Formats: sequence, structure tokens, C-alpha cells
Amino acid sequence: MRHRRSIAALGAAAVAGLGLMQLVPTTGAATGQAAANKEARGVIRGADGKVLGAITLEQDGKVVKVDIRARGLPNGFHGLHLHAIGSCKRPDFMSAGGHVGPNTHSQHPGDLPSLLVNSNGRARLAFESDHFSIRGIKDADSSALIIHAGTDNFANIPPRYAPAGPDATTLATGDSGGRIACAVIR
Amino acid sequence: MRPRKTFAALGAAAAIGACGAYALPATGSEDGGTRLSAPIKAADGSELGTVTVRQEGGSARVEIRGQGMPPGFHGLHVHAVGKCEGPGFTSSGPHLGDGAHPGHTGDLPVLYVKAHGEARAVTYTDRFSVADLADADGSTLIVHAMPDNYANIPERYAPDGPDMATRMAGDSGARIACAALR
Repeated sequence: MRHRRSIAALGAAAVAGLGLMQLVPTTGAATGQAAANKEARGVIRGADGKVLGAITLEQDGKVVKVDIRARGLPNGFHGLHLHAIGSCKRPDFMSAGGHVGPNTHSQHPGDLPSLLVNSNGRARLAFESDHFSIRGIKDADSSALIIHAGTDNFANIPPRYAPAGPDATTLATGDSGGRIACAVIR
Repeated sequence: MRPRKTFAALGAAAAIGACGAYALPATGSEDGGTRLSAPIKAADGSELGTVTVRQEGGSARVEIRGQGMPPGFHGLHVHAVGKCEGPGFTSSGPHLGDGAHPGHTGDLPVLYVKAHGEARAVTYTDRFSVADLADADGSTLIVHAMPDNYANIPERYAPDGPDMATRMAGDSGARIACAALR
């Protein structure tokens, strides 16, 4: 609210003709930024560049409402994460970097529920998270949504398989495999 | 489709007073068998939220609203028997459907619970229909204590593949909440 009041004050100053016109673009940018942190979206594309769907995010207080729709994907469960760099270079999307951190899998703020793709290749998933904010993921280099080829194990490797606990790969990725689709969050 | 027709027939039978008791299994079903809703309860009987399943064409829309749950990811599945009885809700039986995890009919995306214990999620699945859930013994939605690993135990941990326990339940741990869908 303080932010908005200062914008109003600047606007009043400008209207009062105090020669502060150079401040107007600044106030415009600030207003745009506040609005930009309320919502975000991304176009999901496959390794061939084809549009497969969309993600929308809406900040509601401390909660982000996420809605994902996609088609043309392989049937079954797929690991789904926000990755730290808003770059989707085809075909492997490795340019998106690792999961939005900090912490280890499945405590990364970017770790999301898995995507269930139906037998017709379509998927729709909506959920709420308070583990990240739109402001946080739209940082200088933004972030990317990645749909993985495999399932996410959420680093739940029981001790009978891994007496010393999950290894570094599992703790970084959830063993979700290749990156089959990507969306730059804007 | 066949179970739905059966329910309609039973409903008709009940309506003409032939055998009112048979209408009972369908009481949780509204809108002519296209919607099911049930409270999600903890082992002590306290209410932790609601699950609503609605048929939308070839998919079932599953909506979860939860509260008072431990934060983080939790395995979420439809189990085969519509009974939420203790200890540990074992009365709900195994995951709905044949095959191995995560290929069971009842396997769902994990539920994310926010810091204050609240959860809200909507997912669509074509693995079951509302009519499938409202079969003779009903079904249950179970929230587990731990995240589901979707039987993704890489070969470096398990050269012979995941074991039976993993392929049954995804190592999701105890059943902490249950909703009887009938």
C-alpha cells in the first residue's frame, strides 16, 4: 500500500505542474511492475517448438494459484517443476537450469505436483502453492516451467534401497529424466 | 457406462418401492451419477476437507480442498473399497485398479499442502469415471503421510527394479486422511 500511495503522490505532483514530468515514466514502470507481480504466464512448447499448452499463475496474497493445460504429451505422470532460468533452448531445454531453489528435492520452491496426462495426450492441473511468489520467480533472468519425460520420485527412495539416503542426483532432480516441454514465465 | 446403467435401474427399482434398501449406495451421488462429494477425515474423525469428483465428458475432474494437514507433498490415490475405518484406514483396501504403480486406475498427482496446512488442487483423469467410483462397495480417496515416488527407483538403487511394496503403493507411507466415496 505504501508503494501505491507514493505513486499517487508523484502523480499529484506531476499534475500540479511542478516540472517533474521526467518522473512520470518512472511511476508508469513501477505500476507496471506491481501488476506484473500479480500474474504471470507462459506458453508451453515441445522440443520441436510446437505449442503444447499454457501455464497461468496468479498471486493472491501469499498464495500463487497455478493452472496448467497441455495437449500432445505422452500418457502418464510427468515430473513438473519451475526451473531457475527463463530460457527454453531446444531441443533439450537444459538452458533452463536447475529447480528454483534453495533446498534439496522435494523441498525446492520450484517443485510442483506431477502432471497426469490422459490417454488422449491432454492434461489439466490446478493447484495452490505458497512456496514461491510470482515476484520471486520473475527475477532478473525469470524462470521456466519444465515438463519431464519421466515421473518425479520426490526424493522418496526408502532406506532399503538407499541406506545412506538419496544421492546428489535424486536430491537435485527427483530423477524425472529428460525435459520434453518448456515455458518461459513472463 | 455399465455401472451407471445399473445404478439407474436400481434407482428406478427403489422409486417404485420394489426394494428401497438398494438405493442406499447411491446417496452420495448427485446429479444423476455424474458427481460425488465426500468429507475428508482424519483417523480421529475430525474433518480435514472435501473431495468432489465430477464427470466432464471422458474425464473425471477431481477437486480437493484440505486443511489441518502436514505441509508438503503427499501421495494421493483412490483406493478400492469405500470404507474409512481404523486402524490406519486399512479398510480402504489397495489402490483402485489392476497393474502396477503408477499405472493403477486410482493413482493421482501428489497433493501439495501449504505452510498453514491448507491444500487446494484440481486434476483431471480419464483412468476412472464417477460411475466406476460409485460401484457396489464404493471407493475412497486416501491422503498419505509421505510423497508418492511413482515407483521411480532408478536402477542404480535397485538393479532388479522396484520391489513389490513400491509397485503396490509408491512408498507413500501411512494413510493419514480418508474420504468414502459412495
